[in-house]
Amino acid sequence: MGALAIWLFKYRFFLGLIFLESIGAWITFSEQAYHRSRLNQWQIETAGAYQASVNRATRFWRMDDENLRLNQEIALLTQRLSDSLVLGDTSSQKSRSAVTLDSTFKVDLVRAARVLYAGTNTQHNYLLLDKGSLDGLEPRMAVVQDHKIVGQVQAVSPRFARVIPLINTKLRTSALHPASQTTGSLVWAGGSTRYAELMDFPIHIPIKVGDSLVSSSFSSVYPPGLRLGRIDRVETIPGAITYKIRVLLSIDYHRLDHVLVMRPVFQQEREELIPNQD
Amino acid sequence: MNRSPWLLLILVILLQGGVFNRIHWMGIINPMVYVMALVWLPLGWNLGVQMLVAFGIGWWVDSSFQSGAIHAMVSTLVIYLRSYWIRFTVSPVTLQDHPDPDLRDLEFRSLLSYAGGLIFIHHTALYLLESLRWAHWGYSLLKAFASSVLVFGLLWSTLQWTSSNKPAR
Repeated sequence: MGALAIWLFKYRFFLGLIFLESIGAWITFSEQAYHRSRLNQWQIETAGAYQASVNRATRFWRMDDENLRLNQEIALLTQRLSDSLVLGDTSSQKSRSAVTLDSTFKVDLVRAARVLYAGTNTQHNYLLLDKGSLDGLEPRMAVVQDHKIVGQVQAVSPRFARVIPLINTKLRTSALHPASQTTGSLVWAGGSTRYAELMDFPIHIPIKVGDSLVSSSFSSVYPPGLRLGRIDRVETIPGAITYKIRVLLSIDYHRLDHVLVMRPVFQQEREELIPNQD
Repeated sequence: MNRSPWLLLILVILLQGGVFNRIHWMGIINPMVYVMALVWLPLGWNLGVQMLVAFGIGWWVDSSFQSGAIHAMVSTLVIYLRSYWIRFTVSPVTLQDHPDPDLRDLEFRSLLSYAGGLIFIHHTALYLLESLRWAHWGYSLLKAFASSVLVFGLLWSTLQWTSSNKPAR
């Protein structure tokens, strides 16, 4: 104890400097939007650089499975590109090529990205991708894998992007039950990363275990028709007007390596018409 | 210690807020004259008090710049470094005779390395913290150098002027 007191006394001015600098930094980052945004970008960059190095070290061991899956995806995309619609200058590497997902929906930008980090242990999980604003990524772009929704881009730095996945308690996703053409809200309440809940689904609509759920056209972020999950358990609560439904998510966040990031065409135009919720 | 820093302190703070905050010559010269008051603060004061005074001055300037507390952070850093910096820049003989030397008594070379160095450190740290981008370090250094030259010139002129009015010891 005495040694600690001596040490504190000896370095009291340096500790005072650290204290005052910390107060200054706190005030600056609280008040200045620019500095806060730079700090945020720095956090993303640092986390991205760290996860990229971890990823490089472990990638070799997953190469076989990934090559197989990528080859399948390339074949699928090649098939789809045959009926693609070119919207921009195709000579540019960053040209926007529209890829038809189904007969009613198009996306004007698609980027393949590698998942550097996939958090699954907290209420507010996030993913980190190795592509950022330099590759054309922007917030509110859809992140999918094999026609299954992973989440949406939350923030980007020049080289990395942070994704808010379905397994984040802050995210609420519009889900369509194709059999009845009825929508509900898919939310994750924490716990297992394999299951989420379908809320607000009216009790007079017939629904059964095994039915699939897909993204609805209500969302301006996700192309409609992408898989969200399957009904795993349906419960009726006496007096309630909605079911209590457990959904088995299509995506296994523990086995996530490559994803596609896409933006629906006319997303900005569509969102400009939506009243600001702030 | 036969000098009072308060007059200069109040003067440069008023000048900073009223005049120098508005100066942005060629986009690179934005002098922070209040650093003159920091350099002028007596070394004989307790370092903790000096740091608090520097933080307060910086924060006052921040409130006029709407810049969070970056001036406060930089001012505190400069004051902390000053007690070490002087040992490298002023001759030991001078420090032995006058542990808290009056800036007017320093040779030009010592004044340039001591006060000029502190002014440059202040401006460099300030502009780096302001831009918060390593990619802009060259531009920040250029701004810091140009502004430091101007502030040092003002300090030197002030010292020359006050020297002529200083009573002989």
